Amino acid sequence: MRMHSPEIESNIHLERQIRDWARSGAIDAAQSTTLLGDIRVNVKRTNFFLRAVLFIFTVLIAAAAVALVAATGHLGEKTIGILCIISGILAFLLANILVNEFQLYRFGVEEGLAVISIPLISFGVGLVLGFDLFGHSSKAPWFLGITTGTLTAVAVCWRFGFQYAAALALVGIGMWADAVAETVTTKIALAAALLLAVAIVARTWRRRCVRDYLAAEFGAIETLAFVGTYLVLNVHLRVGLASYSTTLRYGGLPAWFYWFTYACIWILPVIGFILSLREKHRLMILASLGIALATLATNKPYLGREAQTWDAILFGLFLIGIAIAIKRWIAAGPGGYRHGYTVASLLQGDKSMMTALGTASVVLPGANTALPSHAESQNNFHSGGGYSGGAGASGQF
Amino acid sequence: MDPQRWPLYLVCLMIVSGGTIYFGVRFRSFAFVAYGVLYGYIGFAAKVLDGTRDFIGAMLFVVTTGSAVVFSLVFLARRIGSAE
Repeated sequence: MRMHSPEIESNIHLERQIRDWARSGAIDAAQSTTLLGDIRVNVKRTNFFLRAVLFIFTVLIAAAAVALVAATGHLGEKTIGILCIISGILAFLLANILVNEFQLYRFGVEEGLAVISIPLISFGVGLVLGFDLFGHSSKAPWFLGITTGTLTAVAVCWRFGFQYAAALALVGIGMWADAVAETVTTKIALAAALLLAVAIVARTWRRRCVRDYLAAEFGAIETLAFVGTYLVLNVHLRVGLASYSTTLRYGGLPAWFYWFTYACIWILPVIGFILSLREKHRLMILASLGIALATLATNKPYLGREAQTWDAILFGLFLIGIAIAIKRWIAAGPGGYRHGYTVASLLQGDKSMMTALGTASVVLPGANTALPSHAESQNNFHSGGGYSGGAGASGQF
Repeated sequence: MDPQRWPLYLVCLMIVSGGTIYFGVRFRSFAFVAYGVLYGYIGFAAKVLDGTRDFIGAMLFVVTTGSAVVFSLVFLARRIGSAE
């Protein structure tokens, strides 16, 4: 059962929408005040940035406290495992108490405690069952640790409604498939099938539920699972740590499966885009566009063709052309609309999202690595002559 | 770090992070409050724990100072940090 009642969740969702409408000028200040006056939200919340810092410090303190007890008591591995399980359960219960007693809602502290319970319980179960961090332990502790961690993440998501816990559960499902299956082909196929099943179930629940906030949550889980399916199937996409990089694993695939994944990475964005466009599922529209870009970017490696330096330029020009064409087509529709879509930015929240995307694009790796820096260019140039108009006459040929 | 420079480093760090937090609160730009707290703590903890081999002491330091930061932030959040 959820910690917060459906009324509280619905009111918070509605309050957020009203504030966004007011900021965007869709309603005036008087209307906003009247509407907000009808909504009662008796929970303690805080600003996003303070929440983030509180989350980080809570996780840090909880992890350090467990390490402190383990180090002070000079505990063995299995005892550390039991300590982790007990600490994880306590952290989960403490998060429940904080929400119940102090009516915290996305305050950072209770989130940190709930989230730290996932790795603590997972790691603890693994250690108790004989998982050895620095040696070759059997597969069972690893498998059971991941299973427990995934189930704990589902419990945290179910109880508190934290969507990042759902994301952790999806990562757990992927790791679970990796632990269960033997060959690379079955690992990829099983992980993709499980994640796709989650996406389908979340989609079904989203379409059935009547509360907006729940529809938004299921929509987010559906999108995450759908993107996860794609990330598992695109074997040329480099994701995560080097040991989990999918780039490293395509070598062991049979040809039929390799081309099957190639077909999937083209079909998935199309299916996602068509369905989400029809249902006006914004998050999925963005995700489908994102994975479509990833497909275009990994097409050459898939076909075994050599990447050229001008590929990125052509790709960028192609995307700019497509964006301008679509924008002009929609704007040319009656009243600037086509099928319920407009190019105008109606809500302030959309602008904030675009700003966040723009900021995030700055940290994309490799964006500035193609060309050597000016200093490097100068260092690499070995002049053998040609000073002061000598035109190379003194050079050694 | 040279022990003679440690007080100067600490004073500079306190001025920069304290100033960032103060003006972040004053102009209600909470991103700067977050920067001030995080970078201030990292700057302080990195120097205190630099080269230490005492694991228990390090963990005790993180638990106590981290708790102090959390309590201060909860107090601050209850006073000024609204949800919107």
